[in-house]
Amino acid sequence: MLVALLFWMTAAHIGCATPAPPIPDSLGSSDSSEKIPNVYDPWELMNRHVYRFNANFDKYVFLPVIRGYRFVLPQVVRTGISNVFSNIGEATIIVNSILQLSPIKTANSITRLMINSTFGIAGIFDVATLCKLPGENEDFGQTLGFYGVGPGPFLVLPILGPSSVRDTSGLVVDTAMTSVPMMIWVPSSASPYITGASTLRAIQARDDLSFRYGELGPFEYNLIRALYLENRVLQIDR
Amino acid sequence: MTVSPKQPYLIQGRKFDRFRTTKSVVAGLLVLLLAFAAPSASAYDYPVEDAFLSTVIGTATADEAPAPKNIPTRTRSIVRFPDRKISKAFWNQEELRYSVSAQKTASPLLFIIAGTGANYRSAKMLYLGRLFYGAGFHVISVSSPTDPNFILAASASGHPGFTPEDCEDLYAVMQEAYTDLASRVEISEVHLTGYSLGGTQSAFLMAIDDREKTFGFKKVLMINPSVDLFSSVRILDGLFEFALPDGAESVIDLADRLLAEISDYTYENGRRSADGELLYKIAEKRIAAGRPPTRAGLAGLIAVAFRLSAANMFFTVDVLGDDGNIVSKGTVLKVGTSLTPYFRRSMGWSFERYFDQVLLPYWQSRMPGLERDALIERASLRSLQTMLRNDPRIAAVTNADDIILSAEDLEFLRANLGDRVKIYPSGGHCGNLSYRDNAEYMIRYFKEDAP
Repeated sequence: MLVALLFWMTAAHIGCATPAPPIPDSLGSSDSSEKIPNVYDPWELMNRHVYRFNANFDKYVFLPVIRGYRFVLPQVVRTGISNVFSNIGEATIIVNSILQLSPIKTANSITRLMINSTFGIAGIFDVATLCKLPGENEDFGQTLGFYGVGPGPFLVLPILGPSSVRDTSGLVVDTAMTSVPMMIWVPSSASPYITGASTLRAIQARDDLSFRYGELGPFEYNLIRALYLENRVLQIDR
Repeated sequence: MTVSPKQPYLIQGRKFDRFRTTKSVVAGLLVLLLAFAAPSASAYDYPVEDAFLSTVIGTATADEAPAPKNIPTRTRSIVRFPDRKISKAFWNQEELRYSVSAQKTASPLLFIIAGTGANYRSAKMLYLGRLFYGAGFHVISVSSPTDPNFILAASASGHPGFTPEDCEDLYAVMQEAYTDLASRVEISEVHLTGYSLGGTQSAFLMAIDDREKTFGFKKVLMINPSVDLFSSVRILDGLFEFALPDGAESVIDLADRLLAEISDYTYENGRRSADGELLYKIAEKRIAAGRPPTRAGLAGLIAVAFRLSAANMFFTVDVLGDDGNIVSKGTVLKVGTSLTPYFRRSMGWSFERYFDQVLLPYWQSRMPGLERDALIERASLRSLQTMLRNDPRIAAVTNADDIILSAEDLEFLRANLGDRVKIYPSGGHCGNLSYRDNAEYMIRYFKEDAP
């Protein structure tokens, strides 16, 4: 009976590194009570369509791919791949920690990058977490939030899932930060490898997430939206 | 039920102050005596003593009975009503989904029925599936008739909540699933189990099978069943009133606090610390830090989880039947329609209100002259008293502190099932379901001939 909500909320948190799902907003009371703090979702019509598109994409593309991926690669290997990508992602976290003027987060992330790149063999093993130094979670959306930028309208991105105007802008900046240097220094002959790596990263990110569309019932969109927005508030406050 | 907001939650071993020295000496001597008197009888060590806490956090992975991690499971589906028009507010709901884990050789089959609002993939269903597949059974996992997918795709009335009728739907689904599986593998015999409402339904399904004779269930086990569904849901409605007096505001507040707690925990322990036993670990940590989860907080979580599954059901029923209680009659919901106002409205409904305003009028229109009390009685295990008393093929496992059972309900099980009911001292509602003693007992029950 204590189903979806709790376990799922639990599961949702695994995906902090990717546009993460999320908790209830307007869990209503009596019929007439309308004084519930509302989320700002002026594009709900479009968002709900994109949400459904994502659910179908998940069902017909992502999940079949994940099934094959899991069949071919055992859990230890997939964990290693996931760790390598999050080790690379440490760079984004360092930049944003600096932008947020946080010496502790910056030092933590630099230490993690050094430990995991060396003792963790190019990031395959997350030695730092074992040494009680778990990863920070920072991105440019949070940096904007740190400087007082509100989320703006809620936005469901195709394939990537729940976001907001602020967080989508942040995502663009973070992506540019990593891909622009790559475009300058990496020869164009290597671009198929880059594409391959990006695809692998997307598949691994989905594999890390135990979320399944349609299991939270008819109000899933509301639950995801509230959970996403509240979770971002917590992340920014940290 | 009486609930005191201040009483803390205790995990065994930390409760030092309750017994005075003399009492503990006496108790110690008694334990020693018992140990010598019956060397084989070991104590029941499920570690969570509080009923609300066990209901919320369940069992730590290390304390679970071992079950294979990955089992071959296929999702199958059934179309029961090909002509049924389903609103665009729902998608991919034309087919009823269930799952099958088949052994390669001739084996006994176990049907497992989910609890209120839960589907065939709920955490408890997945565990039970792994456990029994590991013990050599073919397993077919079926969603609860109160799950939205079941309502839309398989409920003949579209008005679930009246157990005898819901079980007719379940039975039809099970027959199809059985035929499908039997065409591919050999089935030596058929068993049935279910937890919570699914446990109650197992008894009704057995009664239907006595009439229809499709399966000839060899054994049936009710896991933490509700005896009287309406008294159980009234308890849960009551928890909501007690723990969340300000309705929506209390719910949001509670959800925010829980999310903050989860967020802190995963921040401190790394992103992979978020797993099935996250709540268990958080509770452990809080108790160790001297600030155990509050009674109101735990009651609130139980109440919200129940209210959310109930809201899913009310809304689904209302839209399917165009009843006009939650969504005005004739409203066409589309993919992009905001469901937020309906979400609020559905969350505001207690189960009792659903019963009085939706369920009772519906069944009265189908069965003129049906009284409220008669409907409640017919949905209760009490209506099956003769079968429960006399048929040795049915048994139950439950807990003395199961929050959905009243003292009379427990007594009913004890009086009618006799030594076929196993009552554990603690575990709350299904909290100890996967605990090693419980799980091993269930396997023994189905595999051995003794009850």
